[in-house]
Amino acid sequence: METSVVQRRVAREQPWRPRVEWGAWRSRVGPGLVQVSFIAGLVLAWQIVADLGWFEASLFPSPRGIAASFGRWAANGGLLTAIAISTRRLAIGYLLCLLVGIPVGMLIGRLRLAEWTLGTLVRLLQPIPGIAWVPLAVAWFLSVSETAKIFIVITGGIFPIIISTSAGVRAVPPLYLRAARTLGVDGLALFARVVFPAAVPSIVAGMRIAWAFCWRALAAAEIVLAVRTGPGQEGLGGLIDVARQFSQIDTAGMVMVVLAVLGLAADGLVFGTLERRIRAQRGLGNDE
Amino acid sequence: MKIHVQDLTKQYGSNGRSVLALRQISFNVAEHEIVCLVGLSGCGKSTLLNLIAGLDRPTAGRILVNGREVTRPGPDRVLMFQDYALFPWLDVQQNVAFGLHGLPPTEVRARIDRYLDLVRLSGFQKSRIHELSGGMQQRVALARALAMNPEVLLMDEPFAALDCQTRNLMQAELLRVWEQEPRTILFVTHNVEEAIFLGDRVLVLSARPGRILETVPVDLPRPRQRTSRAVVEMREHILNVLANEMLRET
Repeated sequence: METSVVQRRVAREQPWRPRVEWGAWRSRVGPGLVQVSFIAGLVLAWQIVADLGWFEASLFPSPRGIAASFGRWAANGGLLTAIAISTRRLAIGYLLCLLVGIPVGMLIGRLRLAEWTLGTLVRLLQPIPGIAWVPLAVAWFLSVSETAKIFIVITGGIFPIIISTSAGVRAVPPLYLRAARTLGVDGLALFARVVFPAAVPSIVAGMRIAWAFCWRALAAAEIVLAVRTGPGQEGLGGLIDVARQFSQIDTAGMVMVVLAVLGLAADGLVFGTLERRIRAQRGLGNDE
Repeated sequence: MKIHVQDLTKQYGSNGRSVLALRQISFNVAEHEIVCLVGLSGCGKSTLLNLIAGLDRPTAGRILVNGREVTRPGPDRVLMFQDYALFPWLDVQQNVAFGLHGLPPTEVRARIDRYLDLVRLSGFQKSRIHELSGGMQQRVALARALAMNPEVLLMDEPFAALDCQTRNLMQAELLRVWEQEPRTILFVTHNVEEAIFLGDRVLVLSARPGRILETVPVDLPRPRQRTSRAVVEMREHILNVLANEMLRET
């Protein structure tokens, strides 16, 4: 059969492609292996640099030193205590963020007056880093108290929650509200059955950001407000402070790694899963 | 008279920059009648349905449904939308049950089954909304509206987002459902053929501010043939009226 001019043109204008397609290779291997081998390679290079002796060991933590420190602190129970204490503070502070932040955010998103008053206040306070609240926290609560640290955690996480919630509420399609009202749902029921569920993806996005912010604020508060008691009694930030006092650079590095891994695990396992489930349920594209 | 609309006027915005959407519009709809409203886009068709649904308040004039003045949404009237307006966080049966709060669970169950069956979607109770095609989504919306057991169904271009074949099918399906469970239907469309296929009467609206230019009774037995001479002539006539109106406006 004779090929038409158009067909030949199309054939000629096909872009050149390499034999081994990156896309096919990537789908066979998957991103997980790439991620793991990249980090493993990085750790290996880091250890080699440390072994070369260019930097003094007391100033430059090494993977081996961090592992040893991890073993030591895991064996004496200090690490576990620190994690438990930090997690408790974080959980209380974070839950208070949600308890206060979500209703306030919904109010700001729905009521003009609340937006002009509370919304303005939130925008003013939001850029202040959690650590800057430390003097006030110490003045208002005992510096050794749990309350002071939990307060710092709240200042870290509450503003992103409020802002995402109010943005989500403001973005609820008016069509949903009209549909609900014509089906006889109005007032508070409209809030609970339409406005809130419609805003859930945005609220969860805010919860994810707030989680990261709370985590950072907590570590900062624990470092600044640490008082020496038993090993690990002052949380993970307290451990960093101990390492600083006694120039244990490997311990400081070890706690940083623990902070990173715990933060990442919670982010991926809890929030990643939650967001995926919500997106799948509503048929939203997976653009993570 | 099921629906009585008298001297209805709707003005949007403040005095400085106001838009007159409807001016002194009056008509009646009898019980179990299907009345279709056609008009140019922006002629106030949707405004009219919103007012009858009670989602918006008229500037002047009044609306009576069953002899009672409409002041807010009520269970006797349900509005359906072009974009289905289903709730994506609920599955199909939860969407159908959305307006049924306060009823005993057995009754809710019975209505879900009955109306999903009526729109031929039994078996899709637990499906997510995004898994359904546009036509199926509009069937769910129809079941959700019917489950409220309203006397009046207000439909705002409900099939406008569907492709041509699905739209024709849905028109036939609406008539089938209406014959099984007659209701009073006020159906807004910009599609003249659709209006003639469905309606007992077609009201032709003017450009904004909307007035009724002409009332066209469709005295043809159902099912109607879209290409029959009578339908085509009627369509020609209405299209001419609309074309003249469009020329007058520009």
